[in-house]
Formats: sequence, structure tokens, C-alpha cells
Amino acid sequence: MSKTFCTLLSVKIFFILLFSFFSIGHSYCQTKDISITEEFIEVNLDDALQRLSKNYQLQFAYNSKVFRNFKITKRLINLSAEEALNKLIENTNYEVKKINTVFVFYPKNQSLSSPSNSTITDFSWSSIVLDYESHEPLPYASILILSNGKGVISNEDGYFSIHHLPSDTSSIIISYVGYQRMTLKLNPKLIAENNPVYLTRNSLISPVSIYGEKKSILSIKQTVQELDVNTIKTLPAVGDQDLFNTVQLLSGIDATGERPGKIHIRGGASDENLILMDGFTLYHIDHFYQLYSTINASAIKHVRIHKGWFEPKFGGRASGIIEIQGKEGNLNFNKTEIGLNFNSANVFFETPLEKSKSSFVFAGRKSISSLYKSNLYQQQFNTIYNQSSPNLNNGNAFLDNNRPVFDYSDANIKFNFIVSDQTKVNFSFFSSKDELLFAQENSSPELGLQINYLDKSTWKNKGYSARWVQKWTTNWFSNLTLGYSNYSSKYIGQDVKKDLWFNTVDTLRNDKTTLLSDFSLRFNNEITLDNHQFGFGLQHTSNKIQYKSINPSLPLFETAQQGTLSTLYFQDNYTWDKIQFLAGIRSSYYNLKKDFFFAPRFSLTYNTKHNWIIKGYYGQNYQVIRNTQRQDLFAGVADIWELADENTPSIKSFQYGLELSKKLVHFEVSATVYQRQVEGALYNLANTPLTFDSPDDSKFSIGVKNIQGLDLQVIKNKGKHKGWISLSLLQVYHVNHNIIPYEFYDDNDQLIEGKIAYTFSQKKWNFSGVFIYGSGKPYTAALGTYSLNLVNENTKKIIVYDLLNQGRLPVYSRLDLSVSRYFFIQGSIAEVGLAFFNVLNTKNTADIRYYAVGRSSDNYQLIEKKTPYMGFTPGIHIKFTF
Amino acid sequence: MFQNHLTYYTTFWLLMALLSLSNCHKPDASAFQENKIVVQGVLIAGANSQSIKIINFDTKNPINDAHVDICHGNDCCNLSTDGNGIYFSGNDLQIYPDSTYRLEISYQEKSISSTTKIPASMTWVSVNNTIITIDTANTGQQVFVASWAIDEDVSFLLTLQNTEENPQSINYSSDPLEFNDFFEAPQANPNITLQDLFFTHYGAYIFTVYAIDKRYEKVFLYQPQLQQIRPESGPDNIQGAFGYFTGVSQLKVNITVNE
Repeated sequence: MSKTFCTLLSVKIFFILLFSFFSIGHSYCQTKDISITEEFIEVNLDDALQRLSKNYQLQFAYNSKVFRNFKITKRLINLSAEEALNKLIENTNYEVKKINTVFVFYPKNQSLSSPSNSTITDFSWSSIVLDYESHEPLPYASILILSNGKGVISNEDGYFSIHHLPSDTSSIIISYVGYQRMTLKLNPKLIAENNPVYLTRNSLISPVSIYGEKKSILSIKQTVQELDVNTIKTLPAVGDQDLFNTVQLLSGIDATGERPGKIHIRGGASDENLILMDGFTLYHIDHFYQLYSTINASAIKHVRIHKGWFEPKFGGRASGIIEIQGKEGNLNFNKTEIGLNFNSANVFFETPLEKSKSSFVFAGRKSISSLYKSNLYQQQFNTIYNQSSPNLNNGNAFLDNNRPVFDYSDANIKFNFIVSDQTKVNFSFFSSKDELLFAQENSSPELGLQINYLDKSTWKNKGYSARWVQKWTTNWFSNLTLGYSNYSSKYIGQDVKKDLWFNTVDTLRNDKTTLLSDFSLRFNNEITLDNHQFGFGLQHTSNKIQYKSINPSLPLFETAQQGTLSTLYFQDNYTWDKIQFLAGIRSSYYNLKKDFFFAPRFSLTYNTKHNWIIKGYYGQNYQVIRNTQRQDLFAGVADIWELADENTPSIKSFQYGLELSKKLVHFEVSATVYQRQVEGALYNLANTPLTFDSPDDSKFSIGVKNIQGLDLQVIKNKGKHKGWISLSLLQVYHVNHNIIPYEFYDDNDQLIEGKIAYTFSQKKWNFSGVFIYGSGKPYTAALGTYSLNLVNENTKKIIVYDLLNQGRLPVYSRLDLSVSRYFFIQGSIAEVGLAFFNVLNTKNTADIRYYAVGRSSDNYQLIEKKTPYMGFTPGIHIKFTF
Repeated sequence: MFQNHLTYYTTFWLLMALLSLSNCHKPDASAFQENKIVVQGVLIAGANSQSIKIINFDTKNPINDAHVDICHGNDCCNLSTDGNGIYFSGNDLQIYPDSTYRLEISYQEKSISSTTKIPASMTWVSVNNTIITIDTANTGQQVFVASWAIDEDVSFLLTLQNTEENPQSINYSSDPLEFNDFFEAPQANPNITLQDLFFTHYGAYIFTVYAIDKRYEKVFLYQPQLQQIRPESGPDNIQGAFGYFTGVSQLKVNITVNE
């Protein structure tokens, strides 16, 4: 009872802080009246605006690349700022609007300026939503009829069909996360010509990066959240700007592990998430032992995070799906970005191959640790080293000529072809590689021994996809994706013992390799008829896994598995007035166990007259592949993935929840209560010091995982001060296990986690901060030792632990801050940023471990060690865009 | 503004109500939560008296106010304490090979229990010599060879004990061998070969073979000081307390070592 009370109190305090936080900083400066007198002769508009900015301290937001194409000759005499700017752009298709202190230049909305009388009523309209600058399609944009509030969402290729439009002069609102919301007044000409709808991204506009009044950084929806990829680049990051670092700041996703490459969604295990990149599955999503993700933020166009419940179109994992769409490339202009930080160098390049017809994108990133071992690198490596190594005291891996090198790289390449208005094709390639080389020497001259240890770990993941998008009719869309992913994890451990007295050499070597391949086919169709939006398709995944362990002193250990999962799905999203009902089924056949899975999914959404959106959902998910062992720095093991077979069960997840959300004047609020039951949950017994009776020395205990929680999120998408606060209450526990005889908390159980993400832009400056608070996660505490008398009159000192995961680690908290500034150098943009990780240098604890220090089993000391998370760490980055 | 706040709070409390309605549950492991006492006992088949030791885990002080029974089927024998936390059975309790025994303890209204099965009885197959003569000038001789048999998959623990009150040490030219160093761990083979250097003193010895079950063997193999990270918990087979309860059968032979 007292625990519940404390929880309520914490939540209440959190909300009070929330209101306080977002109540500040609403005042803004008024620009004083100025009089402009200038003369421009045959200069481009970009240079003209830069001169005005310099001479009159004006702030502008516009696309410099586009404005460089406009040559102007104008004389301005004693004009106000508004008059001068309007005169400068009078022959362009742009208009200017002042937002706070910044003059923002928008493309003219032709439809707004061409009113006409209505000619048809109650009709359907189909179009595509595109980025104004690059002409890339914008997936999952929201299209809403202003007069009645009804709407649709564009599909993953940007296409949409909207029915029952009241008239051909209706107004519709189009919004997309990270873009300015647009109100479009239809007209017969626009409809007849079937023109695309263009949205403008403010943050691409230079010279100043500002946030438009209607631009959102995060979607309000909870079960499927969309993240503005530019937000990733503005939040603090001491090394690489990281997608998953930002994803972890959303409600319901664990952020207190300091491992962005390890995603836990609503209490699920990290291998229960499907990471889809352009249609192929990523199996290795992290660099540098999960400190970074392998996803290069520069190469991303769109990110969707499905938390727990998915439409029948999605499946194959029990907990979450992260859909990542790579940039398809600018169809109009080329653009290059070069970045550097203390850990890596980054390059991004996009260009049209044939203007408006085809494009090419390249993004590459490589660590610099083989050239320069920065303090940041050393600090991060030592954090991992001390969390993993058997050293009792926190050590420095860089002493005694030891130079561990952790090298990582990744690359994204994409070709995009617009075959016709109805047909598009793109090809995507992804590659990531991590390699750790750690050589250590341990000499004992007094014993005549010299031991050289060498650990080499390699991870590689390559992905390829070909995607065909077809618009058959105005209301039938299809896409076919062929994907192939290839993952390998290798560990080589070699110990060379030299006996200096007898001059002998003894070599111990241990090789472990996992090879995993995934071929997938996804054929999705979408047909809209009246109030129904039907989706159907087939999906097929074929996995092959090989594992090999070579140890000269042991017999060769080799396993191989091959399995296919073939799926058909059907869904109907029916809209009736304020009610939206989605029902569907996903049916799969898994050949390895000859199992049929039927996964029904339902959701019911009701929009109240006060614009509260209430959504209830139920669904089942199935999963047949899992990561049963993670490669560890000193454990000497490779990653192991396994398919469900006669020894390992499939995962079956059942979830239901209720979601409330509302858009308020300044805020968007949402909350979800949910419950999940996961059958076939594994608990890896190697993760616990406890020993259990197991008839066949099984490495896993199999049972049921119960999850329940509450996610709250408040988003502030307007004004200079933007950000969000998220709060999650979570309980994850296991029951009915075959080996562990009692109920126990999961490693990811965490009563409360709160996060604040905040950005503030002023002129050319951008400030941001992140605060994370999390109550302690479970661990298994040692209670002490006792001596046991044996029948041969010897004694044993026995260690006693508490029950599994009964202890709680200390509370976690962290504050990160960053500041960056833009500079303009001859039409290019340079950005310099400083970031500070864990500004308050909070001593957070990753784990509590124990060591038995002594020479014999009847006389040793049990010593407790807290393995620390990273302390205060500064970082700097520079980036050039041209 | 007030309305906005009202809306937030309404939402908040609505959600908290929803949360409280969801089936909050604390993992129930109370049945497995041990009392913080340590119980240990090894029943030895054929021994005159059996003993059980009980101490407080935190203070290591003996516990003398427990009620301790060892039961064989429905026959229970109450053990009495010596005041130092050791409970003796006296002569009333006979431990038979191949039989199952139950330990039942009541302590401060809590029940503690464990069950063990005594391994089957063993028989000697061969013993080459029970009177050994040591030639200190010519050491390294195999002086004792024995083998035994049992109709069960067990492990064997061996002890060699000099029973003289004031034993006279043997002056070897080389260092003698410490029996415990070589035979500390149980072995699977039902035989032994000892060289003279294991006999460090003259006089009477008892060589004992204990048959132990495979679970008790794990206690002998427990070496937490060799585990670099996260040493494992020790073997434990008592419900409601820490410690270990087991039974062994034994086979003995008397050996005399002469000059």
C-alpha cells in the first residue's frame, strides 16, 4: 500500500515539475522598427539576405540552396523589414512570414491563392505527400478534412486516398512529424491535375535553424511513435549523434542502461524487437558494445516505433518494431555533409542522378580509435571494461602499453528511381562492422612466466533490399520488398604462455563463430473503399543459423538451424464518424516446428467531442528467433541466435491496453496503460550467481513473463522551447518457470522512469538538455557466507545469495547538456557543438557484483563491487553542410 | 489556464485509476525465502550417533531452542542439543543404507525440512595388505591397493586417519605426501592405490570409503574463489534454511604401519 502511495506521490511531483518546466520562457523579444536602404544589382537572393542579416541584425530562415538560384536587381529605400523582404521576393514563388523574431520564407501555397467555386461534392481524392526540397515521399503523414475532422494517414510510400470530401473547395490539413503543418484549400484544377502535396521542413532552411510554429518533433501517438530525425541531431551526444539514444527518451523505452544499442520496449527483451531498415532485418544494431547504434542519423528519413501492439501488417517479434526508412536522396539538389567528433568521422552525400527521376544517397561513418584514442574513447572503453572484466578494482585498460582498439564503421547506399507517377523502385545497401583487438601482457619474472592475452571480436551485418512501389489505381497501392541480411559474430581468444626458465611456449586458442542469414519477402497491398481501408499481403522469412566452437582441447562443437516463417495477413481499418475500428489477423506457418500461428489484432479508437482520443487495443504476437547469448568483452563468447525448435519454445505475446491522448494549446498529452503476457520467455541462468536444479543442465529457465505498465508523455511542440517529458511505471515479473521454482522480477523491471528532453533555439544557437531518472533495477544480492563441515572433516565456505532479483540497485539519474552554433561560410553551413554527458557526475551503478578473494575454498573473502556507469564526459563535434 | 490544469489532473487521476484497476502483482517467492539460520548434518550409515548442527546465519551463534527430528517413514527420532547448537540422536537412531530419511526442524514457529537417501552399502572386492612395513631408504613403493563395489551410481570420498594417541612420525628422505591434497575431491573409481609417502606416521590407521550421492559431490567441487566474476551460490538442499543435509554409507578397513 505504501509502495503505491509513494508511486502516486512521485508521479504527482513529476507532473508539478512538468508544469513548472514548460511554464517558463514564453516571453520573446520584439524586433525594433528599422528602415532599410540597400541596392542589389545582379546578386543572388541568398547573398542579398545575408547582407541584410549582417547590416540590420535580421534573422532569416530560408533554403539557401534554392535562393541562390534567384538573381535579383532591387533598390530598397527607407523600407520596413517586411516591405523590403516582400520586394526582394516579389518575382519568386515564395512568401515571407515573421515568426517571433525570425523571418521565415515559405513556398507559396498556390491553392490558397486560387479560390474557386465548388463543382463537385462528396468525392474521393488521391495524391502523394512529398518533401518540398528533395521531393522524397513522406510516409505516414496525417491528412485531415478541416470541416469534419475526418482523415487518413498516408501509407509508407507517401500515397493516400481520402474519401467523402465534402466539396472540391474543402480545406484539408496535412501534417508530418518534423515538418510544418499545412492547410490546403482544394480547387478543381488541383484535383484534376493530381498534383503532389509538398511539405516544408523548417530545419533544412538556412541560415538559421528555427522551429516553425506548427512543426512537431514527436508524434503524440503512443502505440506507434514517430520521431523527427532532426531531433536526434539536436539532443546532447558526446560521440555520434544517435537514433536509439533519442528513441530511449520516449516513454516506455528504457534509458537507464546507457546502452543505446540495447532497446527494451515496455519491459521486453532487446531481441524481442524487429529492427527493419528499408525492408531488411538488422541483427546487429549496435557499435562499441551498445554505446552507439549502427544507424547513421544522417541517412534516416523516417523512424516509427511500434510499442507492443502492431497492425497485422507487422509481426515476427514479441515486443516492438522499429521501422527505419533511409533517405531516398534529393531529386533536385545535391548536398554533402561532413562531420567529426572524438569517436568517429562521418560523411553524407545525396544527389539527383537524373533530376526529378532518380537519386543516390551515400552515408558512411568510421571510428577514429585506430588513429587517435581520445579521452572520450578511453573513458567509454574503460566503462565497458570495468563492467565486464574480472578485475576487482576499477582498472584502466590503457596502462602498461595495452592499447585496445575498438574500430567500427557503417555505410548506407541507396538508389531511388521514379519510373513513373505510379511506379517507383529503390535499392538499399547497408553494412556495419565492429572489431575489437585487445592485447594484454602479464609477466611474472619471479615465476619465470610471461603470458600474452589476445582477444579479437568481430561483428558484421550486411543488408540489401530491393523495393518496388506501385500505385495501381487511385485507391490501390502495393509494395514489394526483397530483403537479405547477413550477420556474423566471431570471437577469437588466444593465450600464449611462455616459460622463461625452460623456454617453452604453450598456446591456448578458442574460436567461436555465429553466422546468421535472413532472406525476407514482403508484399503489402492497401485498398481504400468508402470508409474501409483494407490491407492484405504475404510475407516470408527464411533464416539460417550456424554456430561453431573450436577449442583444440575440446571436441568440435557445431550446430546449424534453418527455418522459414510464411505469413498471410488481412486487416480492415473502418472509420465511422468519430469511431475507427481496426481488425485483422496475421496467420503464419513455421516449418521447423510445423506450427501454425493465428494472431488476431484489434483496436478501437474514439474521438470525443472535446478532441480526446481514446484507443483500446488487443493483439497477439509470435516470435521464433531469439538472441540467447550476447557477445561479451571478457566472457569469451560469441553472439548466439537460435530458432525455436523442440528444445526452445516460440515466444507468444498477448497484449491489451488503453490509450488516451489530446492536443492542447501548448502541449500534447498522452497516456497508456497496458498489460502483456509473454509465454515462452527465457531467463538465462548464466546471468545469475544462483544455482538451480536442472535435470539436463539447461542454460535457460523457460516460463511466462508478465508485464504491466503506464506510460505518460507530454510533448511541447510549439515555441522556442520544445521537448517532452515522459514517465513510465513498469512491472515485469516471471511466473511458472520450469527451473526457477519461484516467481521473480525480470532484469528490466523498473518501478518508475522519468525523462525530460528539451531544446531551445536562439538565433544561431541551439541549446539542449536531457534529464533521466530511474528507480533501481533488480539484482541478486549476496547475503554472506557460512562454513559447512564436510564428512571428511574439511570445511567449505559457502556463499549465500538472496532470491533471484530480490535486491534493487541504487537510483539512476543523469543530466546531459549540449550547445551548438551555426556559422555561414561562403554558402556552406558549419556547425560546432559541445556536449556534456552526466554533467553532475552522478555515480550511477550498472551492477553490483561479488568476488571471492582467497586461495582456498574454505578461506576466502567475499567482496562487493559496484560497477559504475560513465561519469562526467565532455564531447565536441563539428559538421559542414554544403 | 485553470481549465488546462484541470484537464491534466483529470487525465492523471483517470489513468491512475486505470492503473490501479490493472492487476498489480508482486512476485510471490515467500515460500522460498529462507530463515536466516544454517542447518547442516550428514547421516552416516552404521554410525553410533548422528548429529545436526544449527547456527544463526548472521551472528554464527549456536541455536539451541529448536525441535529437531530425523524420521524414517513414520518413525521419528528427536535429537537433543549439547548446548553448542549440535543436536545428537544418541543410540536410538539407526541409519540404514539404501533408505530415505527426513529432517524436520521447528524453530520459532517456522518449519525447516530436508530429505536424503542413504546410498547402498558397499563391499570390499580386494584389499592387498592391512599390515604395511615402511622402508624409508626405498620410498615410492605402492603399499596399499584396494577396490570395492556398490550397486549404485555414486561417488567415493576417501579418508585416511591415524588413530594413535601419540603417533610417531616417519622420517622419509623425501617430503611425505598429504593425503587430503590428493583425495580432497570425491572420485568415481571404486579403487585406490597408495604409496608409502601417504603414511606420515607409524601405528594404526583407519582407511574409510564414503559413498556419496552426486548432489553432495557438488559441495566438494564448489570452488567460488576460482570463479572470477559472480561466484556461484553454494549447494543447498534445505527448505526454509541455508545449509546441507545428506547421508552417506561407509566402508572401513584398519591398517597398521610398521617400521
